[in-house]
Amino acid sequence: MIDATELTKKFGDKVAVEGLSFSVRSGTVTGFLGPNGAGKSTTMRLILGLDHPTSGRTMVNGRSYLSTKAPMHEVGALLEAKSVHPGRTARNHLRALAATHGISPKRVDEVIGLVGLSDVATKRTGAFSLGMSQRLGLAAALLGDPETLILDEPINGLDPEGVAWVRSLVKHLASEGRTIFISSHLMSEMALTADYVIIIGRGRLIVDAAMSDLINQASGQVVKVRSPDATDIADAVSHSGRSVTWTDDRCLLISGLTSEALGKEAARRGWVLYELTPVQRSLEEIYMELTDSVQEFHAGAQARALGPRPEDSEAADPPVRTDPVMTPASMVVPANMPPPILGTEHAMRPPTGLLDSPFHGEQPLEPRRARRAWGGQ
Amino acid sequence: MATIETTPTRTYKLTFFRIFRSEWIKLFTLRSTWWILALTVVANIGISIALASILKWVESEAAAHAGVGTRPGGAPVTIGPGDLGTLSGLVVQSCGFVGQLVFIILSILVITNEYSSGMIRSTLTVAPRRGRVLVAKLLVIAILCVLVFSVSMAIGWWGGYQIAHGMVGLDVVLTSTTSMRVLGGFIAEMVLIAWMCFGLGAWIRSTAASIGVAVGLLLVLPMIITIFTNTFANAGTLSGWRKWLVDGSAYLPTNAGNAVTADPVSDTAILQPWQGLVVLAVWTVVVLIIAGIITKRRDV
Repeated sequence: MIDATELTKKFGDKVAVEGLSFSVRSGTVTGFLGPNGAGKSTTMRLILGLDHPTSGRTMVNGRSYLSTKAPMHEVGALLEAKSVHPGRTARNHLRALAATHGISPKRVDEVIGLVGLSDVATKRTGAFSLGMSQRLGLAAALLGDPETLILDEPINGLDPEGVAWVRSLVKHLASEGRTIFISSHLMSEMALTADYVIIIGRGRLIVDAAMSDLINQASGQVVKVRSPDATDIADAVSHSGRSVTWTDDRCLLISGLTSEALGKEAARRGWVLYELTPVQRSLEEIYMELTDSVQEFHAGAQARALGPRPEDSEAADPPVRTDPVMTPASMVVPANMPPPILGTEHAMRPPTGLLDSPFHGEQPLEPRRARRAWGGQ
Repeated sequence: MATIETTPTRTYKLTFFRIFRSEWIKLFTLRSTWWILALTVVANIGISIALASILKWVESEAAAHAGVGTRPGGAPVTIGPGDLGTLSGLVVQSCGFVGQLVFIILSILVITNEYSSGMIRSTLTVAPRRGRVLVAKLLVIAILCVLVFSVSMAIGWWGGYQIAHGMVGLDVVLTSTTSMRVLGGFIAEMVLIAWMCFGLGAWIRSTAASIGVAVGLLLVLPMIITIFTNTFANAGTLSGWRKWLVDGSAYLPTNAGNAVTADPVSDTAILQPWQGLVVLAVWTVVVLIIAGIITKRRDV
């Protein structure tokens, strides 16, 4: 469990983090997202006491990290992968860290095996690739059997197998009641891994919500309609001030209305509907939209994913664009709010690929505090 | 649903002794530590034996030309008892050449290495109380310093004795007060200087800059001032800033350290041995306090 309260960090004039409050619950995987320079790494360093906050404070498992008796058992952290002396072997690096807490060399070898570094354990780390360094960093983080894991971009440089391994590892650890706080720029991976999402931009909180809420709220308000009365519907909807766009297969994309609302309206007015589908949006799209205004470093217009939707991309028509579904401010959901029950809508919608992760609607009820050693995956 | 709260068994715990062990492992899992320390011991012993051999040669040459001036028109040279100093002083002087420089650099690297490689983030994540980490490192340096110099001096003294025993000019008594002061004082001086250099490293964080400052303060500055001092000494009595410079230079860390092992001790010396030790200790403590405050306050 991690709590940040009104956290502010300034480097000279530059504000890295400003008034940031959030909490990361145990038994969950919480994704920490934001553009480059948003303050993610700084926030993680503040939690670990490596940087001192200008104001505000952070607590780990209800205590200040500095005052914990067994820091490695409280928190395992992977910050930059290359936080290692290049002249030391992987095993000796881990032995030195383990020695601070009286962790046995047996446990060191166990962790080396777990992260798949057994073959190179006696090689000096200076020759390690990024992927191997990441694995070594993960090994260091896991050494003390920690209650909380703080991982900054842990899957950078990992091969697909490694990415899948990290995903299953963190889910497994969360299922044991541990707290996982993980930052990444790979949205598809985050959508698969995280139960909760904290998005920051320019050091400020943009979103703190359950992943399923975020996607449902953002998605539920764009509906796709196929109807012989499409022209009438389009007129009526645009009269009500909502935005309507035509797709090239003569369907309507309507934003600002739920499928329930439109369905009732159709029944009242006698419109025939062949198809009425809430459009499932990807975490990436939602993320881009939410952080668009706070990008620290713009890579140029083509980098924005908010352009034409995939089904419109070949159209010769002017690019179809749905209006922003929600403003960032409206998205801030209190972290401790129970996930709204969206069962009916859920049942109506067929699974649509990646985003229908097993997390939907099944948050762990009682975080278990099982303390067993991790065997293989 | 009933939940069973199992309290995790906390066998893992951070203690000072364990941080010390970790620091010890860190130092000795770098290959460079091994060979640099081995070379230091070999150099210390080698130089001690070489110097003893040279003195023995000097004495035998003098004896062969007894009564004959070494310089044209000079006075006859006769070497009396103790004229060539003590064997302990010789050993200390020998160990000072390479040993001091090695420990200046080694104790700086112990900390600046961590900053340059990023290892410091790993270190301070697992041991977030920074003061304790610094003290553990100081302890490692001190133990290493005592070990390396004890071994070098013991073997160097023994080797020197094999060559020099029976010499008239060299005092080869180990157990005299002077001998014990010189040998013990040298180890204390080396530990204090190593600690001060570690403090500079923790304060400055960059390897190159720290070594620059340490070498400048400990080796170059005293040398430059000696040049001035010698010039003034030729000019007769000193007054004003010249006197202040000459007197003040005695308080530089290296010169204060040299006072500790001075042999023989001059009555007119500005610092007596124990005063030299105190002055050096004050330098070290001041640098370490600044280093401690900066390490605690600054982000890593």
